Amino acid sequence: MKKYFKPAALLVLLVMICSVFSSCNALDEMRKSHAFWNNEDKTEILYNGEVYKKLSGSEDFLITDHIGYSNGYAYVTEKDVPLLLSDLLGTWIDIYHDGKLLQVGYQDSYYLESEYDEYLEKIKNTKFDKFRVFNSFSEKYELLSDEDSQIIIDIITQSEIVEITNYDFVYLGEIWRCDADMYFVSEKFELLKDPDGYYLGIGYTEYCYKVPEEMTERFEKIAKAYFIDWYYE
Amino acid sequence: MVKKLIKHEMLFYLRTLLPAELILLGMALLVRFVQFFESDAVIYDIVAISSIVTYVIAIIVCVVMMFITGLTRFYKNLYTAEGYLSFTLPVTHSGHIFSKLFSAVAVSLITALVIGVSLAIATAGEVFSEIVKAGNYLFKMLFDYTGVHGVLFIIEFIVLVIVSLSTGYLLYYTCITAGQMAKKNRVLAAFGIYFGYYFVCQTIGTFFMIMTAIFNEPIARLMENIGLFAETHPIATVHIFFISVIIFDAIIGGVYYFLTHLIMKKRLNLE
Repeated sequence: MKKYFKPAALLVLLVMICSVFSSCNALDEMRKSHAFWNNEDKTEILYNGEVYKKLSGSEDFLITDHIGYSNGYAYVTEKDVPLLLSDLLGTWIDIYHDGKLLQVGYQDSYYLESEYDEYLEKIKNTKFDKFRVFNSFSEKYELLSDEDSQIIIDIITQSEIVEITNYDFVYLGEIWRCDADMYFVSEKFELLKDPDGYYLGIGYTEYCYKVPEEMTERFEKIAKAYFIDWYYE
Repeated sequence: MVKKLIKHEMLFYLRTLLPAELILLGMALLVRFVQFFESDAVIYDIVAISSIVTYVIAIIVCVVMMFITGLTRFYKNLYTAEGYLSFTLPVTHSGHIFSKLFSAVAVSLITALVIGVSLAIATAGEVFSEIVKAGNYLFKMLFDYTGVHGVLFIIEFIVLVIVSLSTGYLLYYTCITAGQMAKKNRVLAAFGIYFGYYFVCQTIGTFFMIMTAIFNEPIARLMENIGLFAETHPIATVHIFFISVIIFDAIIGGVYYFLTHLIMKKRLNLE
């Protein structure tokens, strides 16, 4: 037994020494998705060597890229949180716009500091005067024509708001108020249907606009053009 | 004399378990060695996963061996031909049970330590340093949040582990001892007693579940009050939890010890 002790101890020592100089791919990957709060009031994030600044009032709108085009994810923690606890103690970040935009949680957005002012300017000058839909057939976002957009505006301005109490509603799809480039979106409307007709659900609330009978035909054209009608499938 | 018995018990365990634990350390070393060649190649994945699987198997084998050795040692040393020699020693029945229990629990803790060391070897370097950092941070969080209570939690946890291990071993000692009352097939009888005990425990558990369903309202109210207390006194709740489980385990363990001792002394013709 004793004669094996020295070679065994030597082998252990050798492995230990080599271990100091070797790296681990899994840890490197984790390191890539570990971001840090850059200041105490959490208005800045340090990620991948770049500083990201919080978009003030970013909770008032959602950005197109937020929906379905995430470039990856990361976790943001305080600077002293060890790597292995980053996912446990950190807050989830979705990365958008080729790594320029970070969305933390569901509301707060942070933009790359070097392009922050330019981006902010773009937001300020944005006019949400168009509507876009996710076409269920082509599986792409499409801008509604001016004529179709006007129907939506007419419904919003002219029809009564009712509470969603009927569980026979069938969800057909979503319509978003957006800018002409479909880059920014603001309000979300859900297209609902029941035996009595069509409804436009308001965002994440329990209320909706009931599509008036005189507009139903025009509205149905939009519904049939963009959404698979699960109601009669 | 009990000290000498414990010494011999430990020597026995050393002879039996040392090779397995050395193999475990060797497997850990192999896992670490394979990681030096980390790459995206499929062959690396196959070798790395195989080495990790072998390492995990080695851990399981070590734990199972430790457990089985603890029980067979108790059985062979006291209830087979060896027992005639054991009971000629100037040691009481309590001394025998205690020496076996003490060494089995000690060996369990040593095995846990060896598994810890093997993990340190398998993750040596950057990963291990990150594990240490994470551990330190969690301890810091614990002490920041609970202050001195953190130390008490750790002590309570260690006591709970020792008491639970002892109770676990004592249950099997009781079953083995009770099995010796059978005229034939004593080992089989010990298994039968264990499964009978398990069946009774399950029946009692089911009965309590049925009672819980029948008296749903008062139990829900009780749970709500406990939840409220836990929310307002979180630190006290953890202490109460640890201490009550320790006391419960200790009482059950005491009953097993008493039964083992009683059967050994009164019902078995061992001397």
